[in-house]
Amino acid sequence: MSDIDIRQLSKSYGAYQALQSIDLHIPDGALLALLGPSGCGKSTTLQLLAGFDTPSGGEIRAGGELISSPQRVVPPERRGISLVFQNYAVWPHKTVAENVAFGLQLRKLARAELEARLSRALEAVRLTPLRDRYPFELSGGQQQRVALARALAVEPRILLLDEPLSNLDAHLREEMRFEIRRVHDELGITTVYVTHDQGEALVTADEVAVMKGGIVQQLGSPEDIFERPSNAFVASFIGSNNEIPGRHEAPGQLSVADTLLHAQDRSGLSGPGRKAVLCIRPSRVRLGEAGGATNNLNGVVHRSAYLGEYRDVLVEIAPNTTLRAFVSPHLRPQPGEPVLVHLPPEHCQIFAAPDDAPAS
Amino acid sequence: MAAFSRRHVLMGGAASLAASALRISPVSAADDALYAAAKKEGALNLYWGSYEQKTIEEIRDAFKAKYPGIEVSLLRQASQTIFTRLRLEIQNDAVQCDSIGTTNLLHYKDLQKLGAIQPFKPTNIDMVPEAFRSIDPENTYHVGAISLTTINQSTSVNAPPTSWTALLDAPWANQITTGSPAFSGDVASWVVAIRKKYGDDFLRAFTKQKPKVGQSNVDTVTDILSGERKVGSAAPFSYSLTQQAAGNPIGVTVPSDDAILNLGLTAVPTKAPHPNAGKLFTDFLYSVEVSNILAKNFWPTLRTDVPWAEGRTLESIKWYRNPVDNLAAEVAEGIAKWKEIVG
Amino acid sequence: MASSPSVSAARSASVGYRRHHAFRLIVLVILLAVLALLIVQPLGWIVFNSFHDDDTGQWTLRNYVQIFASTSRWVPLFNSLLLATAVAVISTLLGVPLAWLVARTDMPMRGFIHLLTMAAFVTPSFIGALGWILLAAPNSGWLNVGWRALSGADWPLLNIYSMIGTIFVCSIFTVPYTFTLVSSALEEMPVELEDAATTLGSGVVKTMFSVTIPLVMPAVLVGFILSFIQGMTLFGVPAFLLTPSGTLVVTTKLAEFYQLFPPALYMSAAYCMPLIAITGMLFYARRRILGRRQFTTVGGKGRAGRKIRLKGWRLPALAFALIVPITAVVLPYIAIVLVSLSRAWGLGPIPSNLTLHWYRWAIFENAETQRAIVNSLLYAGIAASFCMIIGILVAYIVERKLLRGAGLIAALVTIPIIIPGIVLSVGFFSAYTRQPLNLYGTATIIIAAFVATFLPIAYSQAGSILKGISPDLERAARSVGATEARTFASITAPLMRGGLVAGWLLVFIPIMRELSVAIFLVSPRTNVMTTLIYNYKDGGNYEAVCAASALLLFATLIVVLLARFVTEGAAYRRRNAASLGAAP
Repeated sequence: MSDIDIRQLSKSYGAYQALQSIDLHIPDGALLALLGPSGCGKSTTLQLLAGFDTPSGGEIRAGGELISSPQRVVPPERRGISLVFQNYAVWPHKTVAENVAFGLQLRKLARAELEARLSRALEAVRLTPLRDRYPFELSGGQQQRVALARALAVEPRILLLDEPLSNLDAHLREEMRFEIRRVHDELGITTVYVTHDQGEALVTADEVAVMKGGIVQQLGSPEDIFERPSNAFVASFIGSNNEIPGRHEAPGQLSVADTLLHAQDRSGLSGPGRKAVLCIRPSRVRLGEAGGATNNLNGVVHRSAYLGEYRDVLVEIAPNTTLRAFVSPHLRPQPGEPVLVHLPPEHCQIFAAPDDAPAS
Repeated sequence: MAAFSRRHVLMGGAASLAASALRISPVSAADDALYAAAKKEGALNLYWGSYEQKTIEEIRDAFKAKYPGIEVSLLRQASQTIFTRLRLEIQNDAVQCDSIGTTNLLHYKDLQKLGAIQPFKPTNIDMVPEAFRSIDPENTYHVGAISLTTINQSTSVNAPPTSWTALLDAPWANQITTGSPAFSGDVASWVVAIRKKYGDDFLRAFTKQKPKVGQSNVDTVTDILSGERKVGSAAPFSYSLTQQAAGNPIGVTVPSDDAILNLGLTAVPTKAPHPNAGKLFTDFLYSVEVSNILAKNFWPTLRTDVPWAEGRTLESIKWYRNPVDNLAAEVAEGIAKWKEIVG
Repeated sequence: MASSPSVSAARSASVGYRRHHAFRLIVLVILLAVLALLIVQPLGWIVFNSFHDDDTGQWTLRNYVQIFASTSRWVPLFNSLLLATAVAVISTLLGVPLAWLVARTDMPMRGFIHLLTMAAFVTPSFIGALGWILLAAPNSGWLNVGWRALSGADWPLLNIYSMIGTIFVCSIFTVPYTFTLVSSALEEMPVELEDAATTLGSGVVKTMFSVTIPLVMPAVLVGFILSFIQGMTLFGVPAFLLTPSGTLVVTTKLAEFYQLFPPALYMSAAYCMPLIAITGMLFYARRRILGRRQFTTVGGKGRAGRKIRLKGWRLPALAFALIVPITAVVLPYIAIVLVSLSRAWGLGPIPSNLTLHWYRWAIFENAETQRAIVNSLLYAGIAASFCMIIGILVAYIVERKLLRGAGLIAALVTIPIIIPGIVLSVGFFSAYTRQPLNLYGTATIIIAAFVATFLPIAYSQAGSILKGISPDLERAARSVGATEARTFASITAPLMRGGLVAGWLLVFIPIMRELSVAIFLVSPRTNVMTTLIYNYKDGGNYEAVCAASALLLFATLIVVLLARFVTEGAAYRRRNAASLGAAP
């Protein structure tokens, strides 16, 4: 096993800067999720980790050893790093057992040892009964397990997973999330998991790095990034979120359409008048009750949808400004009805307005 | 001048075959010394464009039979290809050729200018018809083949045209096939000769007959045999006779205003790897054996004492040969005029 | 299994780093050296020659100036452009649906049509032209004779001696390029992709045009370009069919240059240079059209033998699919075989005129034909194999972007095919008859010339197969510890196999029928079938020409069948191994 140390890693393709300069440390045995929308740099990071690409700057160390720098890239097969692909990349001309055994054969193990490790790997992903099947005879989930077993069989010091579940249907995806976590816990291999699905990241990872524009926006535990996002992007990317544009008035205070709202201030802004946004999760919004002295707004119900476990209500709180609230399904606000909105200050957070998002 | 019948041809062929079986000429004293030298060289590379594959293979085999101990390689390609190749070999100083034989005099003028062919006098040259005995005062090249250009016609034609000018008569409109002087040396010779005889007016009248212009003069035979056309102009004499002998419905007419005679020539390159073998082969060309093979294949023989197939001789045919002094320019001009007038 | 962390892997990482790069370097250096010898040198000579005067041997730009100075020089270029474009369009229109019908549907007689289409490929173009002269010459062509007899008309139905006739004959003998390329791409394509479209309610034909064809676009475009090039470089057909109308194309114009006195070799070299520019533009256009689109389809091998059902369209489809086999093989070969069985072909196919003499002669009696058959098969086999090896290596480097400037190598290996054989032949002569590399008269020089000439086909084919294989399949192997070489051997090569056999045939067959590139390189001992057949043609011995052509066809068909046997085996294994991998 080994830890991973990424320092000031950058990568550009011509004029396009895929990775700005990222620093990450992944402790030995940890499972880190790289989370972000497409084009955020997460896959580039993975390619660099796997050794398929040469960084433009910075370095990667594994277990203290330099494996990637602009001058020197240890080839993929010499890194002890296994990669599981989004499209499984299971070799169509080999059976399940042949797929998994390939890496072992390269290591010229004794027959018994090879067979033992093959069986262990198949066992770990519960594929033993299917060992002689060809990939086309397997479901997507089974193929992904083959890919996982193949990666694990060689006992890598680091395991990389590139959107491993995105080609599976919703049901399988949920099952495989836990499967991956289970295998990780069993083997304790340092793992980097790339995904654009926050649910996957939150369920599987010890730590999550949220990326955007080639920059790590936030690194923290799943709870950290959900409860205490470091900027509006992270807040919106993880889970459902309301972003209400306004003016920063004073630390912890923001005005929205003449109403002064109180919130946790993460904007880092000082002095009044700057554009800022207030973020609150829909599940924290309260409707129809004045829950406190401040942060009460008058709104009009715009739309209301019953979703079984809760009701998704869209409320207009100012001209052209709406916000979503998930409320008890027993409440039945009707469209056009005026409603009192309360935004509990402890759940409100102020961020600087993102440069690239219009603040109006 | 009349069309030769098939029966005639077969008889002639049989006669010369019998002759070849009887007469095997002894190796002369001069040949003896040359043979010894050639044998020492051990090999002979022939680059030949004169004569078609079958005839030249027979000549090669006869040479091998007569002169054992010399490994003979025969490269038979179109004359211009052979010449181009030898020129490339000379350029690259990689001459492999010991005996070149092509149908175009200009090749030898060019090689002579480069000093690329060596002078020598073949022993048997005195047996060659006198007109072709010393065609090069410097003795660097000698006659290798006699090629006649005539008219050929389908056997369905009862009264074939008997002269070049008769081709311009009304019955032959849309019936003539011919080769292109831009692709065939023999056709080019014919164009030069016809312009000498009748001027460009002939070409204009010829064009009005809407001839089908193929590439090689061999195409005339193809067109006649397939039935596409009836009469071939600038047609190959020997090849047409061969096809006739094989049983194809074709005949040959030697025009009263002269068969056009084109000499195929041969030489030994200065840098030939086996010069003595090359010279020995030249000598052999003028042997009775080779002339018998030629007669058998309907080629004019190279010896005055061996008659052609059907008992014909050079004297029995009215022929015309283009003067050689200004030939290069006349060929170029002929081709240009052809393109301008015929297309 | 967590018990033994791969410390050894980590420790040997720096050793691997050096070894990895050393191996890559060695392979690259060898490849570049081979390409330099095979292509740069001969091409260099051609370019060098093009700047020299044929008469004086001095440096000059005159050759280039002359190309555009007179109409007689640039009109053939224009005619060739017209011919090549028409040939490319028609071959694509015929070849792509034909490939689809054979590879994807339940049309009857698929195996037969496949075989005959390949047979069309085997036929040297001058033989095909000869066959069609017998069929469609305005006066004597059998089809025209039949037409006159049936209709009472006094005019010919078909006139093969025309631009249209030439385009037609060139096209039907070029279709096999498109056909082979596209059908091997189709065979690698997952059926699921088509299924997805048909279940969405799209009709069969619509599916073909909206899903299937776009997915095999790289192969279609390569087929188009190769057909265009074929139309540019064919000599036999225009020589036979266009000469009577006085129309010259590039190749027949080149033949004229060689006929000049002295032969205008340097002018010919210059005359080819515009062709390189035209082909360059085509390949550039292809890059633009394909752009960054992904075409990875393997592994997505479809389920075994599942074919699209044509229902009522089976027979109309068959009628369409028979166009090429009938016009390119059945009809001309009836004519050719009849001639080959004649004592004297001018007498026509009457019983007393029939004989097996020419076959006996070619197979048993004549040492020249015996040697030439062996030489042809041997050289074509060796050259095709080398071609594929080099083609795959280059395609691998280009497709997987292993080297900066790989595009340049790709352009380089693509050039020889556009240069008409006769000019290439001189280039090879110049390149390989000088010390220290004097190969003149050996089999090596001929094989080398064949390899260089047909490398573009091998490279294109290898490239379009590789485009279809997801790089992730290779990366997966690297990440579990396989070196680049091992990955190639264990993963890439087996996945390419079906396409490789098709590619090998695509090179082997044109080599078998290639004439001009060998013309200055063959020696008596290294003569091949085509040069020999051409000699017989030159001597007017059509019975021998036809018998030898029929033998050439027969020998090549045996190889095609053998190769198919091998592919079928591979297909069977793959059928058991249909796959997933990259989603397009």
